[in-house]
Amino acid sequence: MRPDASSDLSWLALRYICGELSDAETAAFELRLDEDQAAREAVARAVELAGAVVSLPRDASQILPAPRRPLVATVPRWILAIAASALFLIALRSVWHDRSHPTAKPAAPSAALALAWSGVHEDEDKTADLLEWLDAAPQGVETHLAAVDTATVSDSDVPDWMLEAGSLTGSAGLSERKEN
Amino acid sequence: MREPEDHLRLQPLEEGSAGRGTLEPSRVESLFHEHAMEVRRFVLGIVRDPEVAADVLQSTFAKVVESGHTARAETLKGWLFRVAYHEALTARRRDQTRAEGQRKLASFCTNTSDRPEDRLIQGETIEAVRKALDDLPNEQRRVVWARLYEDKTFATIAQEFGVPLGTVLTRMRLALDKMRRSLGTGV
Repeated sequence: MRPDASSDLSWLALRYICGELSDAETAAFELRLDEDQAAREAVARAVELAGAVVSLPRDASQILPAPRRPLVATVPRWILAIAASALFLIALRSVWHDRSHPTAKPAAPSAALALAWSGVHEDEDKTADLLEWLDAAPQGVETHLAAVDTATVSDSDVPDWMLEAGSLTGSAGLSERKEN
Repeated sequence: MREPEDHLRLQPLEEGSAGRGTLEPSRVESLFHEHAMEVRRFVLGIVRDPEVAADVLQSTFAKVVESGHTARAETLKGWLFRVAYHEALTARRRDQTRAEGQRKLASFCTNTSDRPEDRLIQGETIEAVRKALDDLPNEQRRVVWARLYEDKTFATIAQEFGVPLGTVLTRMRLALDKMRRSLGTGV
């Protein structure tokens, strides 16, 4: 008998003694038992295997408890479908809202930032002490920040709005505003 | 594996032919020692009742004494099993109180005798099965344990484990193949 045929027969015999065959399968197998000695011996082996397992003490094998079913498996599918739909709708609404209200998110135009940045220098007197305190290294604390070499900083590293603000500070724009 | 009909026919004893029409007692004894336990397990698989199986075994060997001489020596084992099968079917039909196929494995597969020679399952077989069981992957071992030890149906196991029935059947079959290989041809 081929190995796979032997495996098939053992499987059939085990299901037979476990009462796991359908009526039709049982009838067919019992017809086979009438003439097939290998099938009869397979039944005897299946009983021996089942009997050996049944004879084991409860803690004989390191039997782990049945795995807990994952949450997804315990929640009804219709609830999962509703939850997924709700999430999708929320995401869709968020995208739609962003597109229909572009001003909702604050834009940072260069001119506006430049104006704000230049305004800082208008209050230089008020903030001079604060800036001096910020620039000074704290006493008793070693700084690990490397000094920035201005020569290595290229123009491309500086944002446009900051360059524009710098030009405003030293130009007539600032003077005009001071006059105002 | 079909035995020729002439080997299976159970011929009545000829009157006054004791010794000529029966199998020799030593041969019957030898047959009993060689095959009785295997026949008993086979019969248990059919009738699923230890008491009925014991009766069937007895009546089977009574037939051996009466008609064993009609079987060829090389097919005697097959003949013996076939006689036992017909005796088992007869007994099963007679036993109307038994719910066919519904008996628990534990009720008919366990050892019912304290005498080692009468035990259905030998101690070494139990130990070998325990080792084979321990060698199985967890998911396969759990299915084997649930089906054979706890006597749960495959459908119940699938439901409890939260896996498809096909997965449970595949795990059980893989486990069975591995255990058969581990145990050699013994089981």
